[in-house]
Amino acid sequence: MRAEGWNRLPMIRMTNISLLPGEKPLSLEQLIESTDHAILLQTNRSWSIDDKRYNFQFGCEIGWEIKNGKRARMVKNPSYSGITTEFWNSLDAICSRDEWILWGTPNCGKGQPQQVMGTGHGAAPSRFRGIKVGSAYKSS
Amino acid sequence: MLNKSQAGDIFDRIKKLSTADEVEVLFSGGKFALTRFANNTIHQNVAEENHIVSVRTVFGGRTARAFTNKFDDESLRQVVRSSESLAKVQHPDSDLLPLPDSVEATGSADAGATYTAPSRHFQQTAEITPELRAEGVKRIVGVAERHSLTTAGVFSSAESLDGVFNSRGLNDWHTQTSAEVSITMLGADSSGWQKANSPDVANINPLALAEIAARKAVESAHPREIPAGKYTVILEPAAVLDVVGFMFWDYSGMAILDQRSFLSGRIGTKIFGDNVTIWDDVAHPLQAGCPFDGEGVKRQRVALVENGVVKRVVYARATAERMKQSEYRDKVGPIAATGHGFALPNEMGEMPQNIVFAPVGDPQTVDQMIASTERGILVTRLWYIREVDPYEKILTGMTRDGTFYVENGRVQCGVRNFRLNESLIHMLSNVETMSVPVRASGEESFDMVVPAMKVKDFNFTEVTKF
Repeated sequence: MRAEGWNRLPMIRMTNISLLPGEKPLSLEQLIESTDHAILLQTNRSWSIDDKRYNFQFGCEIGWEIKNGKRARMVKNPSYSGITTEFWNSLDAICSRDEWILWGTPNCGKGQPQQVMGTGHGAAPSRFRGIKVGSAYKSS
Repeated sequence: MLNKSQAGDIFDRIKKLSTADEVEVLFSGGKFALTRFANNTIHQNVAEENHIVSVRTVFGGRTARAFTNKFDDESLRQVVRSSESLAKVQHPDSDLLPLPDSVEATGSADAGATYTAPSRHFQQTAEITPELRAEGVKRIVGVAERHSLTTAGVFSSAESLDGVFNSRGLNDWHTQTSAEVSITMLGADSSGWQKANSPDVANINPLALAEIAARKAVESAHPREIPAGKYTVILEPAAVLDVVGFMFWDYSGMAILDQRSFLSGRIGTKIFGDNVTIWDDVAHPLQAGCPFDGEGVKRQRVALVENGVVKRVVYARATAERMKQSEYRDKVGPIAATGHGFALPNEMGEMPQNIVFAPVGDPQTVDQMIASTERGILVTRLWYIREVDPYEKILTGMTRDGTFYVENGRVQCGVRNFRLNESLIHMLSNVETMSVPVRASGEESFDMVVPAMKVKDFNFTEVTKF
């Protein structure tokens, strides 16, 4: 339960949800080296999810195509999307603590009257298999 | 509630306490109450009354603001001291103008049309009690129970004020009331929704809204999954409001100067369909809000788009002066303070907040739009809209609370919700028909006067699980 201040009712919300780092040593470069073909997605700038938290889409500013274990060309405005449960079931590698960063956003809004709070969400680079990329610009 | 006379006294006391070159005091606040219900019962009733005094002082181009909600002598002395000590350590702002006087605040001929703002204070709304809100909720719950649905939502009411006083003699005051009802009806595998907001509670009918929300939940039960793709869509006004709202931050002189507006290089060009004309008009009878901006400049009626052509953007005073000196000055249409600035200091400059879509000559009702649709999607509302591409204005988001498949001129069934990835430029170039504009409320954007729209080739890229 969290409340924005003394004059707001506490509500159920998750302000500090993090993904634990992988237990075995794994750097981002090692993760890339162990990947045949993928997109490394960076610099998230857009996020949207349906009201039951199934279908999501995230947009990034920059990404890198990974080919045969190496960073290849840069890709602009990459996006990824999917169904939450399918997405998390496709996770097959998480980098270890050295790569873990506490991210977050300062203005997560919830409730009526609205309560705005800062959030902290830690994660290390992770690999997900078979994820759809590029829907954001599909035929638009 | 604080009145203008009391505020004037507070301002006089602040002015005497200050040693600054110039002083500006903004007043805001009022009474706000909200009754929230879920699972067919009221579970929250909150109310607060608060008045804020915000003091901005100026010392030779340095300015800062401090605020308090206590009006005793010591508190006012402290807020003046805070504002002044903050102002003195700022870097001088070369764009900072002297405070406006009452003549400048009425606006220049280049700014836009003159107007008379209607009263937006309704005694019946100001006197709404918790019992009256509870009575409204009871009627909503009655509809839910009759349809074997579960309902959640809010019934809120407010009486608020905005005031501005400055040391050049400007003083202006605005009071208004507001009532809002938002209703979600939940079935086993479907939902419906309606929302309305007005300064006058007499314009809000909780029972009628509940009936529409319930009907949507019932009629969208057992949703079918149909593939994503390009469809003709019929967007109800709330859906139009929430998606178009994402472009109005860009109708700002500062956004052009910062080159973060999708209108950069497009002012004076036709980027939407002939049937799209958009005004910012605080005096429109279906609008609400304060008729002056963060410096006390009167909001002008401004034509933003005429027949698909972007005509101009809005300006705070300092932004207009900067634009007149900029490399863009010959490419942006009229340049003048239009009364759309935010309180200083700020980083965003200004934006239009009283959007009105002009009516078309041959409006159609939503039912007429459905009847003329061979194959399409009827959308009640959208959700979690976010910007994908800031220049092409591609937005993403989901349909929600009543999405229907239309075939051969009739609503056939509810469908699972879609994800959209659609350019606003593309969308507003493909509007086939519109309804009469209405005052609409959503969750992603501020209230506007918008029509329902029938849009061809609207881009759905994915389907969700419900």
